[in-house]
Formats: sequence, C-alpha cells, structure tokens
Amino acid sequence: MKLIACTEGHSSKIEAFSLEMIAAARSLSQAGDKVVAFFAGRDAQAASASFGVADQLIAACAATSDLIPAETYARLLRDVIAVESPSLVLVPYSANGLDVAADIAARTGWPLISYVNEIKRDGESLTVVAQMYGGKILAECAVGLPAILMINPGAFPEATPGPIDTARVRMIDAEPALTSGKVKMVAIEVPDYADVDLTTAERIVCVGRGIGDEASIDLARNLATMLGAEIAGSRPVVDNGWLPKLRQVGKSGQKVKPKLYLALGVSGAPEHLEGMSHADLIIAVNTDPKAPIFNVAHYGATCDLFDLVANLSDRLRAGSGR
Amino acid sequence: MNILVVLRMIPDSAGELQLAEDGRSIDREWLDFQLNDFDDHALEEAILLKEAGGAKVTAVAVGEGANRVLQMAAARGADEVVALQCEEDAMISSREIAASIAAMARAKSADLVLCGVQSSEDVFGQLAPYVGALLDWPHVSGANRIVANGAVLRVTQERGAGVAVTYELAAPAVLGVQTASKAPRYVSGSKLREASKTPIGRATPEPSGLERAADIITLRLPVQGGSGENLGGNAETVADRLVSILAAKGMARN
Amino acid sequence: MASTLPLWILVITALALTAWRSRRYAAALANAPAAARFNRPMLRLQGVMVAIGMHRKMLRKPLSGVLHAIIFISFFVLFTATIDAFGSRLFPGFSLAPVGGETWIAALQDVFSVLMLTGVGLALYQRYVLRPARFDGSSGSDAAIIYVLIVLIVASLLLEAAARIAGGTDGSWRPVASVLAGLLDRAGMSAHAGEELFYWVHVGAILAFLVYIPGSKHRHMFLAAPNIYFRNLEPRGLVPAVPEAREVPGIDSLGQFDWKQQLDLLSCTECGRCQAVCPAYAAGLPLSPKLLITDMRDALAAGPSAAPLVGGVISEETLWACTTCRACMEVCPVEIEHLPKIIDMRRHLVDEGLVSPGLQEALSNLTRLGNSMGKPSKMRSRWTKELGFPVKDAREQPVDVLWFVGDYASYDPRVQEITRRVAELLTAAGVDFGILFDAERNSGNDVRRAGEEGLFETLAQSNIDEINACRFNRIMTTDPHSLNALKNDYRHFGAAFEVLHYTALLAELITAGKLDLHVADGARVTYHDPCYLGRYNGGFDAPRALIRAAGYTLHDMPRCRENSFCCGAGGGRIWQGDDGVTERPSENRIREALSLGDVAYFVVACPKDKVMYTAAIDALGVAETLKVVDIAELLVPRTSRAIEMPTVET
Repeated sequence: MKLIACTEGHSSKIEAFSLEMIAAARSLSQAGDKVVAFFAGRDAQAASASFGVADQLIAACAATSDLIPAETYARLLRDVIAVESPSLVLVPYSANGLDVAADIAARTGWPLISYVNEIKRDGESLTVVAQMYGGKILAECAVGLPAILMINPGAFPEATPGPIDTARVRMIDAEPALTSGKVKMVAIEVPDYADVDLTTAERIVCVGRGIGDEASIDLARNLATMLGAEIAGSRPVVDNGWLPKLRQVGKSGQKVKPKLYLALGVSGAPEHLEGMSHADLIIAVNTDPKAPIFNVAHYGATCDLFDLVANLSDRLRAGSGR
Repeated sequence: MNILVVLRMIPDSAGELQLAEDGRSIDREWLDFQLNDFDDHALEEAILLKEAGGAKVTAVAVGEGANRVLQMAAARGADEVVALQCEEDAMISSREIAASIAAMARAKSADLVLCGVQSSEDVFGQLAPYVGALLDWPHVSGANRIVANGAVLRVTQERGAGVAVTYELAAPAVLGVQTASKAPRYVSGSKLREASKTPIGRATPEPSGLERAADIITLRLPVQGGSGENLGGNAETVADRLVSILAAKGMARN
Repeated sequence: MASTLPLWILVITALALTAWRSRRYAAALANAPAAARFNRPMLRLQGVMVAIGMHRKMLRKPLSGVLHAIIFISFFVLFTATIDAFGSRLFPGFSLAPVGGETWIAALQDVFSVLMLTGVGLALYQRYVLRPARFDGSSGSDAAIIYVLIVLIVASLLLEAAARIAGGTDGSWRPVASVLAGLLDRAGMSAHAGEELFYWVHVGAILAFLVYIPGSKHRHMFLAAPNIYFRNLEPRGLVPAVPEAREVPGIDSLGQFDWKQQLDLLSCTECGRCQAVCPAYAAGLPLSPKLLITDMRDALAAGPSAAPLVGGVISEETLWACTTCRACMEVCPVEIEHLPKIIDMRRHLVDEGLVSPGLQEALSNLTRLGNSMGKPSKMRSRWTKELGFPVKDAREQPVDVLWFVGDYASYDPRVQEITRRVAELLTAAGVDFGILFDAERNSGNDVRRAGEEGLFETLAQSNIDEINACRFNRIMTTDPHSLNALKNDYRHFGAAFEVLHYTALLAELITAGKLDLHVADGARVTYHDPCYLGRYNGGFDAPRALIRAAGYTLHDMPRCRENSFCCGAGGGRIWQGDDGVTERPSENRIREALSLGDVAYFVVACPKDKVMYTAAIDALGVAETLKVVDIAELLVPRTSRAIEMPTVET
C-alpha cells in the first residue's frame, strides 16, 4: 500500500513538522509499502535535501511564488492521489493542512480524522487516537482505508533529515495550477519580533513573587532563553516593575496558551490561573506544597526554585553542547 | 452581498467533561453549551463586513441553545436567523452538517459563507473546507482580516510563528475565521430583549452525502491534567526529570 | 433725590444683565425632563434646615465649616445694609430707622462687617496658605474675584457709615465706623463727598456681584437650598430606574438629564470634598467627582456644541473609573448626586457595546451563566461538599433563613472557607437555613451600576422568581453587594424582602444567647467598613459588636464608618484591569491600617474585601505583619474545639 505524507514550506524553507509526517508514514509502513512525500513550494531543494527517509518525493514547484496557496496545493495533491491511489494520506495540522484535509475528504468521500496523536495499524484498518475538546478528551477511532489523517505537530518524532536520491524524485510543474488558481497570494509578512506577544508564545517561563528580587529575574531569563521561551511574570512581579506590563500573565495581563508553561515561584491566585490554565504542559515549582498552582500543573516540584534553575540550566547547557 | 454565517453550540470549555455510560460520547446532561468562540468571531466579521460595505447577513445556528444565540446574533445585526435542526444530545460533526450548510448557501444565494476555523467537536474535519469543496468555491481557513471590495475579497491568514499571508479571491467563497478584525462586540441586555422578538426560521438537515466515515470507538480522559505528578523536592532529581519530560515533548532545546 | 433715577437705571441694567447671563441655565432647566422631587415637603424642609442651619456636613471640616458659617451669618446680617442702601434711594422716604436701623441694626452691621472680613481672611488663609488638595482643579480666579467683591462691599459699607459719622451723624451705635471716621477726618476727606463715593462703590460692588454670580460657583448662594430641598429621598442603595419616557437606556447629552440632575451641576461650590474622598482619584485614575460635575456644568453653560457628552465632555475612562462607593455623595454639602449621572452615562456606553474586554467577559459570563467568573451554575454549591453536614435546599423545603450566597462567596476558593465558617456558625446557633443551589444568580448589584440595566433586570427577575417560590422568613447574605441589590434595587420589581447582613444576624444570635463564643484576649484589630454595608445600608454597629463579643479590641482607622475608604472593587471595577492606577485603593487602605501600628488583623465583612485585601497585602509584601480575616473567622463557638487563629508578628 501507498502512504502519502504531505509536507510544506514557504520561500526556500521547509516546515519542521514535514519530517514528522514522513516519520509517521514510515512508522506505519510495512514490507512492500511505499512512503511518498508530497511537497508543494517554490523549489524542491530543501525537500530533496531532507526527505531521504521517504521512498519517493513528488515535488510540485512554482518558482514565481514564495508560497503555494492551500487551494492550489489541494488541487495538485488531488492529481497525485488520482495517479498514485494511496491508502492513506497524512496531512499536518497547520494553516495549510486545515484547508487541504477536509477539501480532499469531501471530494474523494474518504473518511478523515483530525487532531491525531497516535495511529495503530491493523492490516487494512487503523485505530487512531485523536484530541477533542481542546485535548480534554481523547477519542479512539476506527477508520477503514483509504483515509486521510490530520496529524498534530509534535505527535511523532521528526525523521532524520537526509538527501533523497534524484531518481526517486518526481517533479511537477505547479505554475499552470498556480496561474489558474482561484486563490492568489498577494503578500507574505514575517513578523517583527521587537514586541513580545505572550498570547502567541509557544513556551513561557513565568516568575512569581517567589523569585524574591529583581536581580533574580535574570536567572529565570537565562533559563527561558535556553528553552526558547518568553519570560513572563505574575502580578506582584510586574507591579514591582521587575518586568514590563506586556509580560504579565493573568486576568489583568495576558491570557496565554503556550505548549510549555514553566511557573517558578508562582503561587497561582485564581486571577493568575485564569490566564494560563489552558497551557498544554504546565510545570510548577513552588516551595509551598499547598500552592493552588499545583491544582492545574501537570508536573509539580516543591524544591527551591533557585536550586532548580541552576540544575536545569546546567543540564540544558550540557545537552545543547552535545 | 449575501453572507451566511454558521454558529455552532459546543460544550462550555470551562466545565468539566465527563464520559457518558456508553463510553463513546460525553455526558451532556449537566453541560452548559456556548457559542463556539471562532464562530463568534465569524459572526463579528460578518457584521463588520455589513457595516463596511452593506450586506445581508443570515445566521444559521446548530445545537443546544441555538435560539438564544440567534437572538444575540440578531441583536448584533444579523438580518435573518435560522435554526438548523440537529440530532439531540449528539456532538456537532462539521462533516455531517456541511451538506446542509452548502444547501442553505445555495438557497440564500450566499456570496460568502463564514464560520469559525475550528470547533472542539470537528474531529472528523473542519467546516469551511468541507463546505467549500461541496460547493466547489474557494476557501481559506485561519482568516484574521477580511476586506471586501465588490466581489473581490482580500483575506489575511494567520500561520504558525506569526507569519501572515494575504490572499485575493473572488466571491462566492467560504472562509474559516480565526479572529475578527475587531473583538466581538458586547450586546446589552436591553438590545437582547428587543431582539428576542425576531422570528427564528427553521431548516431541516440534508444528508451528508459522505458515506464512508470514521467511527469513535471509545472516549477517554487524558491521564494528566488537574492531579499533576509530584516530582518531589530534590532540585537535582527534579531537574533530571524535567529534562527528560521536555525532551520527550521535543522541547529540551531552543 | 437726584440719585434715584441713575440708581434705577443701574439696578435695571444689572438685573437685565444677570437674567441674560442666566438664560442658558434657565432654558436648560425649563426644557429638562421631569423629576419626581416634590413629595414629602416637611421632610425636605427639615433636611434643608439641618444642612444649612446647622452646617452639618460643612462642619466636618472645622476650618472651612466655621469660616463658611461666619460668612454665611454675616451675609444675612449685612443684607439689612443692602436693603437700606437700595431702599433709601430707590424709594425716597424709605428707611429702616423706625425698626432700629440707626440703633441695634446699625450695631450688628458694624460688628458683622468685621466678622465678614475675618471670615474672608480665614478663607484667603485656607485657599492661599493651607492650599488643601481638594481645591486642585477648582477655579482660583473665581474665588479671588468673589473675595475682592466681598471686601469691597463690606469696606465701602463701613467707610460710608464712617463718612456719615465724620459729617456729624451720631456714631455711638457704630464703634468700628467711628474709629474709621476719625481716620477719614485725619485724611482730610470731605464727609459728603466720601459718603457719596463709598455709597456708589457699595451699590456698584453689590450689583457687580449680582451680575457676576450666574457665571460663578457662587450661584450656590441661591441654588444650594433648593438643591438640598429637592434631594433624593429614596434609599441610598436604589439606583434610579430608566425613566419610561426615555427611549434608550442611557444618556449621551446633557439635555437628557432631568432638571434635578441639571440643577446639581449649577449648585456645585467646587469645594472638592468629593475629590478628597474619591478612591478613583486617589488611585490616579482620570476621575475627580468635582471635575465630573464642573466639566458638565461648563458644557451646559457653553450651550449646545459639537463635543459629545460621553466620550467628549466626559471621557469613557472617567466613567469606568468609578467604584460607586458613594463617598462623594456622602460628603457633598449641597447633595449633588454624582452616581446617577455616571450610571446613566455608563448605560449609554453599554448600550453602544463600548465596554472594556474585562467587563465584556464578565457581562457575557453573567448573561450566559449568571456569574461573572464563567463557572457552571451547578458548581455554585460545591463549597457545601466539604461541610460535615448537608445544607437544605430552600427550593425543596421551608427554611427560616434563606441564605443568598453570592458569586465570590460561592466560587472563589479564598472566600469559600469563610462561607463554610458562616454555615458552621449558623448551625452551631441552631439556625434553620437553606440556599438556592444552582438557581441563584448574581444579584446584579454591580451589573446595574456598571450600566447594564437590561442584564440587571434579567438577573433580578430570575432571582426574585426563585426566591418567591421558596418558603422562608428572612434572607441573609454575607455579601454587602447582594444585600444592597436584594434590599433596595429589587424594589424596582415590587419585591420587598427582609434582608440581613450576616453580621446583623450573628449579632442578634449572640444577644439572644444562641451563640456562645470563645473570647479572645483583647488583641487589637481594625475593621474595614464595606461601602455597601456601611455607607449604603447603615450597617456600622453589628460588625463592631461582633468584634467586641469575640474578645478583640477594635482600633478604628481614621477613615471609618461613613468615611470608610473603598477597596476599589465596586461598581464593576473588579472586572476591569487596573491600567493607569498609580496606587490601588486596596493598598492605600492597607497602608492606613499599618499606620495604626498596633493591629494584627485587618477584619473584613465582605467577600470581595477578602479577595482585594489579601491581594493587596501580598502585593505590599506585609503578610507577616497584617492578616486579612473575615469577621466569621474571629467567631469561634464554644461548642466547637478551639480553632487556631493564624499567628502574626506585631
């Protein structure tokens, strides 16, 4: 059977989750199966340099555009599906994937499952675990093939990047499809990161009153940098002027929903919890075992936060040096 | 311009979800239902488009509390409100209702269908692309700014990492709204009372037409959440555990 | 007399000018919507007598009060001189002499002239030397012009009499003028010329004063008494309903205010007492109750203009800054009603959907779920689960006391413990009580004061229907905001419930011997009067009685009882951000408590206060020296084991 892993990129970059799609397809494939990576973008260089784990790369390229709109992407993919007759199409849960997956499902009549975290294959049928209600519920679904799955980024490990043999690359000219497309891209803006926007931050390290004084904020800031996180503060910290108001999390500050929320010395007043309890992963460190922050934390620790910051920084530094 | 905006009622995200006895659905008896937040933004965008260039806005609502939310839509400026009948005590599958929405778009001669980009019950796919494909109209999901110039639409889409892309497309089209250009407005109690006299139309559902579907075998609650794991009070072991937890989530590096 | 005609011309001209200068106000009042302020004349008159005759509110600030009383009394005495001055020349032959105009009246005029000058001297000392902050923003030139005119009037009065004495009139009843006559004599002034000069200065200054008044805060000489007479006699806690004649809920032009609200604007004396007590002003927010009034007054004077009222004359930020604590209205010597104006303008903003994101979220939650927190209704009674006993469902069985719990007491984890403590106290005292469980809705007190009249009506009607379906004798609540709505605002719907604050009920139980308490060792505590319990509903004594009964010594803060300082949460402020706040009212209040120097507990009797002051103490980092405790936490029944009170270092 054939599995198509949909990948994406804009300008001359590929999105990191593309390698996760290929890895997911690979993990489901058995002897005799074929993993086809489908790519649509400006050029195939980055894709052919990284998608070596796939058995084949089908790359639809249009040098005139930094980005292929989803509508055109879906049309190109439909043509590929018509030719390749895959049993399974994996689409990433992304802005592009949101438009592609159900479009294909509606036009092919195939079943579609979104927000997929796990896939188990049993011959010609699959058992899939998908998130519902913002992750509050997990649904185990049965799906017959052929089918489409929309995969959560981060659910599968990335495939090891490596070049793919040119013999295994099929190039498609995407220009005609782009020209006749009904949705035209007119501008692409890459943000100016000068201003912080906690609401869109994926990782946040938040310090509370437990941080003690202004100088200690820097320790937390260094840890945040190592984690690729934004530094934020609870109300007392911002009130004291240790962090700007823009970085306050909570009712009177920003409501955030990052993938990682590391709370250091935050007790967790209801106003604070209101602003962050929807974070995907909450790790709380507070010496008071009764601190309400632990009610929403997925992991809690009661050690001294300065000891922890020091230890964690050491390990992360060592890890990145490896 | 005729705009059709879809409003889906979903379980209140603040409430605790519990599983029904059959294990295949959630216990809906004690739940509060509220308008899907993204649909709220879609409604706002529809009203903003109406205010900017004139339009007739038809709001169609589906789910428990549809009448209440339709009154709210009327108070905010919707010209016509319709409740789409649905199966009681069942989740609202966007895949199921797409054909009904498409039929209504045709019946109302809609130039634009707006709905929220997602709902918490669209595990079988999202509404905008389904409706777009069924109508064979162009569709864009994740819209956070829509400008209409006659039949030409300029749509800005939010992508990951803050990248924003602007597209141009011609109506008729379907747009999945992420954020309205302005936050949904507040409607006062007195306006709501006034709008409670607005007649609410009824619509019966169409068969989805999509025969092959996936099935939910069982639902379960995630292991974590609320009662978190206690990593203890030793900074070194806590740091070790955190590094492995972060690594497992692919977050142990920048 | 030769001067009769010129004086008539002068007087008529002055009266015409005065009328012309008053025309806009007169027209505004004549065209204003009706207000029902004509009932109960005796009670109204009595209030005027107390306010003006006794200078009741004025004397709360002793220097101001005394100097104003001096000027006020002197004015009446010297008015006889005015009558004499105009009467004698307008109507030749008129004289006060037959009733004592040259004897005892003359003596009074002589003495009170000096008193008046003394009063003005004190006023000058206060305004230019002491310079209290409450005058910030008041018109300095207006005050100065008035001082000059008064001094001119009084000095010319004395000097005219002096000139007459110098000309040979008997001066034995006018000792001060006699002294001045000697001085005039020495200056070599002709007695007759002097008399004429000072006479014309005198009447000229009086007429100038008259002409000047319509554009001056000294309108209050004429308007203070009517404004006090037509004051609001409804309960303090009842927000005026939207008049039926008004098509929209709110107000966005001055002309929509009824005549009493417009009269308020004209009556303001710019004394700034309201500004001095306003928590929003103290917090650095753009609200001064005084400027709110004077800005609208100036707009009224300017006549119809391009600037809109809401968002123009009065900014949205100003309107949202108000905590509705009512301190401004409590201190206003002329009974100006600031709050109804703010609420009417908020009603306009809400109707237009112009609300801050925080307020919008709270109001949307209230619309959807009946509580501001966005919590499901069925979680409202969750606090009862940790009690060792069941709580009766008042919808199912009759109860003596129906407990209206309120949002914060039901949902906020910091307050739930207090709520349980109250349940335990009631049980210990054998009170038969029950609650409404998930049928209770937010009382709507602050919803109404945030200007959301429609939502208030929905919430209130829902609560009234639920309450009416229960069998009970009295309603009790721990929440002063709910207390106020149920007791006062619900009258709007014809509901007349007997509603008690828990402090009143507990004090009653102790007096009746039903609640026997552990008695503490007299530790010193302070108590914060909640606005909606104290100022609004007069609940000052029961909490203090409870503190004493529990064996604590009360050390009141300087601002206590009617003068209590708001925590900053009321009127919907708790749902809004604190952008622009330089010092939170709650922290200002905690500093006041700390300045007492000897109290360990900051005792509160309002769920919102527990939340606000706990946060303030955390923010100030003084949790080691001061603890916020609810009164219920001080009360420990003897029947239960002794409960450890939290310890603090003092």
